[in-house]
Amino acid sequence: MRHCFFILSVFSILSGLHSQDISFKAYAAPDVLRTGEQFQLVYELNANPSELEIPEFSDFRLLGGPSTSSSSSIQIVNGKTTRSVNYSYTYYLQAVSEGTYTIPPATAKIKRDTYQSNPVKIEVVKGSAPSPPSATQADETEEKPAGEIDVPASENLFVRLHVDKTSAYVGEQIVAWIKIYSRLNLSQVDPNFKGPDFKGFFQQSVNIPALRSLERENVNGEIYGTGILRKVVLYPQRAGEIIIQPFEVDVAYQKQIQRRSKSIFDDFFGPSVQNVPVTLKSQKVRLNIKPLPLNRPASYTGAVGSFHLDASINKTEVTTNDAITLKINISGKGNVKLIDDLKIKFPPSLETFEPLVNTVQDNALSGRQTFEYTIIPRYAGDYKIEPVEFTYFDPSSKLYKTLKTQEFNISVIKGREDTTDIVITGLSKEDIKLLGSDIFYIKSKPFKVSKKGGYIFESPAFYAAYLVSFLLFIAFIIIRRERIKRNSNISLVKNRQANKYARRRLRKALVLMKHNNHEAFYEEVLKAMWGYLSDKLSIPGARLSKDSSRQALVEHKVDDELINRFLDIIDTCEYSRYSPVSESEGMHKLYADAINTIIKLQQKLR
Amino acid sequence: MRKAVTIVVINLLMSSLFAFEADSVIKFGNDSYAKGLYYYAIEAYEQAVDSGYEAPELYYNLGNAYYKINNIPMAILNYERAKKLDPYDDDVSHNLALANAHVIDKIDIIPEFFIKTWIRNIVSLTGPDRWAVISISAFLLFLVLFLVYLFSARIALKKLTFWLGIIILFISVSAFYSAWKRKELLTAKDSAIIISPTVTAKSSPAESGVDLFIIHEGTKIIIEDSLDIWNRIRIGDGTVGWIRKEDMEII
Repeated sequence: MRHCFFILSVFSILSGLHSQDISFKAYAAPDVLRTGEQFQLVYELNANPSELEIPEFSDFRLLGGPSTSSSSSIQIVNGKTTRSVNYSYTYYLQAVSEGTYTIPPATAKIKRDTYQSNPVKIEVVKGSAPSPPSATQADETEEKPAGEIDVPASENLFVRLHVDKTSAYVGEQIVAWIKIYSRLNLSQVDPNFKGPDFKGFFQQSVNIPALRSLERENVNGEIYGTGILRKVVLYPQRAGEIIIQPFEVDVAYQKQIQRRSKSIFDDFFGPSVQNVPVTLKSQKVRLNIKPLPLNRPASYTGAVGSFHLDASINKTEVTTNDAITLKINISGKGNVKLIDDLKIKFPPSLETFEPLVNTVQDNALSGRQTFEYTIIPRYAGDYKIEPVEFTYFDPSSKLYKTLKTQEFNISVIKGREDTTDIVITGLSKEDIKLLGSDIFYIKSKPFKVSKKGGYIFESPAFYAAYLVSFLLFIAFIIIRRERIKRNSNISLVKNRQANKYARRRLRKALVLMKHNNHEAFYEEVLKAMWGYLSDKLSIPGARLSKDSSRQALVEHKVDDELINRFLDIIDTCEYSRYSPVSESEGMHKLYADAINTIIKLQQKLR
Repeated sequence: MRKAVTIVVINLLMSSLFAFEADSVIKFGNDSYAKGLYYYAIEAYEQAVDSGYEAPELYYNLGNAYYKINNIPMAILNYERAKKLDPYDDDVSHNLALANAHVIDKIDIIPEFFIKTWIRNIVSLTGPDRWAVISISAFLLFLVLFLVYLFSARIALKKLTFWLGIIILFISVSAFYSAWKRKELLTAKDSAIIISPTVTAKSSPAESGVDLFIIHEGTKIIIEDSLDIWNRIRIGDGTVGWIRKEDMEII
């Protein structure tokens, strides 16, 4: 087999021909017809078959054929020679009985290889009405009685708006087309026909070839000439029931005119025809538009359909200031054009620009949207571009689907500084880039809460503290003062009474002297002297001595003589007290001395 | 006497119990906030505030939760309350500044007399209670020094205690003033935050008054006077008008 191909290809090269794919097609014209009507069945090949096997036409009557025709053409483009041949075999058949028939494929043998054509479907309806004419070939309808179709009945000529579905989601594609049905001789369709304004939809018209000829179609057992006037793809913009209002089309058909005066010329030129303008009105179309489910993901931007996402990057290892192109391609069936900008999170230190958006419409229903991002890394480092997410709603599964690209890692190395381009203004120190601002986090550590109000300040306890401390202060001072006062009172009394006590004692001493009790006498005089001094100078008795009393008296500015006399008396008393000798004379003198001294001291210490 | 002691003990127990409850509520709020359940956090903090507790941190956290759900006026209100209790917290100032950036009204604030600001700053160094304690302690110390001055026989000691006593007395009086001033600042109900989205200030406390100006939510105002349901307010640039009490929340 391989050997065979080799020879074949060598032959092709030698003959300077470019070998082609074999195509083997079959079609019937027309393929919708009435019983008794005849049609052609054509088989076309682009090679000369060595053998052609045609199936048997058991359901049709073979009227003639096959008639064979062939054509060939040679094309030389830029020294390349292309030769194409075309062979066609035409059979003339007649429909016998109504029904839908399929003519099985024919088989052709070309250079030991077998090829099969496509099967052909033929629809045959009951032959009652005359066969419809087509717009360009103004066929005569001889059997038609005159005046039968003066007013075009709605079943003879009408337009219809078709939609491929009456229930769809918001944003889901709906294909709508306007079709004209005619059993008359349609001669003209308003070329400025725009169709209805599809309110509530985003519409995108589909280019269709201009209407040249009507195609036969079986509608409820009747054969109509049909043609598509307009085709659009609709994208519903809101949910709810949307009604497409009826619209009007101006058309004209040809009508035969029966003339009263029959002349041979009329017959000779055939029946005269007249163009009759008619306005056709379409029916209302109701569409039920469902809202999208509410569980939409955050990345959803409104795409409905079925899509495919891919991303590519032209290089991943670059030097600084070298541009990188990231291409993101969304292709598929749906409202591709309406896809907004993809939210891509680029690392902040990469400089990026608005993407270049390019939309390519493959056909009415599907297309491709390409986003081209230019990235210029300004600083060396390794960067990661997070996967790009794209979410769409799939109406067939009624689910939101999220597509993700792979993530890209870019490593940037520091390129040579191009001094001609970059002006170095100083050391490359930069401010820290703030990426966003947010409030500081809450105080999560346990903290002390207190009851509102309840201040110590101005509370009774607060004032009480002042008052108590002040009262304590006052009390302290008062106590202290009292004590001083009391002390001073005692000494004052004593002072005042000192003379009296001293005299009393001396009087007692005088009595004792008379009784000649000299020991008691001296003791009493001594007590009188000490007691006087103690009371007068407020010196406690325990602290009294001759030295201390002399000092105290000096302080009170008592002259030395008096002090000496006073101390002499004390000495004498102490000396004489235990002396066995007793002189009444000495006692008298001492007594007088003591009285004199006290009188003098009294005068001095007043 | 025994009864009084029992009452005091019971009161102490109760207050510690309530404090414990407030702590757990606040902790719940903090946990909710950490998980992003800001509405729960707000509810918890508000509960703590409603049961009579306060702390600058509590108001700060509440303000944060309001900020996160984008309720800017309530966030500002709570930040201002936190700031009132603790004017030296940098976190509060930062978040308040961020929240204020969302406020629509741009008002040129008349600067305050600098001595007034100084006094407020010094007085706000600590709470009124601590000032009160300082004042009492200083007073006691002064009295002791005075006694020493009175009863000392030594001239040098008398001189020292005299001058020291005067200084301590001055400290006591200043602390008293600070305590009074701080308490006044804390309990003052003279400033508020606008919480209604748009408020029209009138020339008189009646609906029939002439419309003077419009202010928006989040703006801080000073309340100068009030009459029935109306408050006479002054905004930062000195403009005065009457607005309804329900449109504002006192800090």
